[in-house]
Amino acid sequence: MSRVLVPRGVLAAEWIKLRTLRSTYFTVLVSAVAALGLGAFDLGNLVADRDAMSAERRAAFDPVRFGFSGGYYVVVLAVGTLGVSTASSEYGSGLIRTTFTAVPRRRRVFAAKVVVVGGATLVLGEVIAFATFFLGQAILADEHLEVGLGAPHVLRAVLATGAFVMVFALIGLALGVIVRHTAGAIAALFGLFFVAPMVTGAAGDRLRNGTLQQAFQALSSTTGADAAGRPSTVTAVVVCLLWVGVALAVAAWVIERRDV
Amino acid sequence: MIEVRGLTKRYGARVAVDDVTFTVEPGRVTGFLGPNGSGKSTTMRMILGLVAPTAGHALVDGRPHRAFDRPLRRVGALLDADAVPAGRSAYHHLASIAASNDIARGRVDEVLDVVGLRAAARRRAGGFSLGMRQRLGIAVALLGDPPVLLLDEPVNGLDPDGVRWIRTLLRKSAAEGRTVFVAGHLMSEMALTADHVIVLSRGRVIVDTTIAEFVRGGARGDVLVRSPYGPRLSALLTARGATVTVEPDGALAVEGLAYSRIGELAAGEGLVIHELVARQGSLEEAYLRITEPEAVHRAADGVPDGAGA
Repeated sequence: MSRVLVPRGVLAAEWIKLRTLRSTYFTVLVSAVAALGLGAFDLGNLVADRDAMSAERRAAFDPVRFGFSGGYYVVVLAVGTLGVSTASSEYGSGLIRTTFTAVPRRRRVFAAKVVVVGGATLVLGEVIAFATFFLGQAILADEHLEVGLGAPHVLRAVLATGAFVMVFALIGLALGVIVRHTAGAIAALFGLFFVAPMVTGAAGDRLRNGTLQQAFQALSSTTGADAAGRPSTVTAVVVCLLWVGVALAVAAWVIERRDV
Repeated sequence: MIEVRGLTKRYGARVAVDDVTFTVEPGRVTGFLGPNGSGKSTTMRMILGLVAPTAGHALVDGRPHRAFDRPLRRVGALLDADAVPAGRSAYHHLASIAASNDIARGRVDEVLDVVGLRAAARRRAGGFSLGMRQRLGIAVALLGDPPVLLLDEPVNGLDPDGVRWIRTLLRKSAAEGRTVFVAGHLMSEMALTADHVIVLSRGRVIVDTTIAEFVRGGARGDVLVRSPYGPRLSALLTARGATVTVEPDGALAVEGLAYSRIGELAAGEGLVIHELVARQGSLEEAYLRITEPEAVHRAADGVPDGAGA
């Protein structure tokens, strides 16, 4: 099957492209610094101000989710941008013609990009998620607030947080193919993440729970569907799969049809 | 061999390529000429399956480009020298393209040597001059050692050394039996490189012939005559069937009579001649003569050059 859908050579070509792009390393650096740095900063502040915390806040405190807040948005956006540019930069420079002249079955190119970008960002996302988790728990250990990976929902939350990075990168890749302009595709991607929850929020929780941001928040917390009206884990997974599936399907459809 | 049959591309109401049919034979260099915006690039992109034709088809060695599993071994193409990865080195650019067609990594070093980029191979291609980008683009075309080469404006931005180098490369490739199809808009350059020429104007083939035939049929020759008896000489030559035009400085440009015959006629009437020069029309003139009215028309239409190309 891999022979038919993605020949190894095409896969190798996309892998060379990804690992020889400077923005790839920049993304890795920004992601690691943001996730670990901001995560440690937030948790450090929390530990320092612990005595000032109200009883309700203390009850609702999620020791896993808390470390994934601020810095992780930077990770998701940096990696999403990387996903976009792996496709849009080729359209912008005209290199897409060289690529399609070498591999006229364009879906093979697209499939190879999906495998390479998806695989690389999954590894990156998981490494950063676990590193952030362990760093955060080490900080919380001072106040004996830490949890282990074996506690309920913790492993799921960490794994899903890492995997969401891949989800976002793949949606970015698909948007890069569909929009073909880096700036436009990034705007669409950020809009999907930040604006969609606000717009749909007005229409009620059910619709809002279909957005990526809500799914991400649900998946990265250990409390699951809570009072804040978050979607359940299953719903969040389905929402992610639907967004990725639709984005990839549309991209695979247009990539064959358009002149370059 | 490249076979183009009835190829047509419409963008809305505008016809970029209009029912184009021609064959590019192996073993010779075929020049593909036309003003900017005449449809050359669109035609080449249709041959490579990048642009879907509205009608007609193009075959490379009997098959559509899309049918090739590893097309770089069948067709090498340079479409746009500016298409380089800004942040990637020339070496990694070539390595990724080679990998996609299962071409051995050693071939990358070979083509870098052929195009003279070995020393710059590890530098970011974004910092390359236009001449170096052209060489990199040609390296891509040569990667698969293909029997068919398709190059769009390969001499753009090259210095005189580079121009001579590409000319030699094209001639050698043709001598090896390859099909060499080169688009350009400089007739003078084509005259030195090509054996055969196809001229496109406003999306249609207006010339498809050998270079020799093109020079013979298209280039105008005339005779420049200077004489103190201009009006009398003019009347005499016109009476013998020549077409005479008076140039701004009073000299006569005579068409339709050989310079020897003009001398004899003038001597017979005792008319003094100060200068008698046979002027050979250049290929450039011939080319401009057939394409210029179109270019003027195009400008008047307000159609931007290169639109949709």
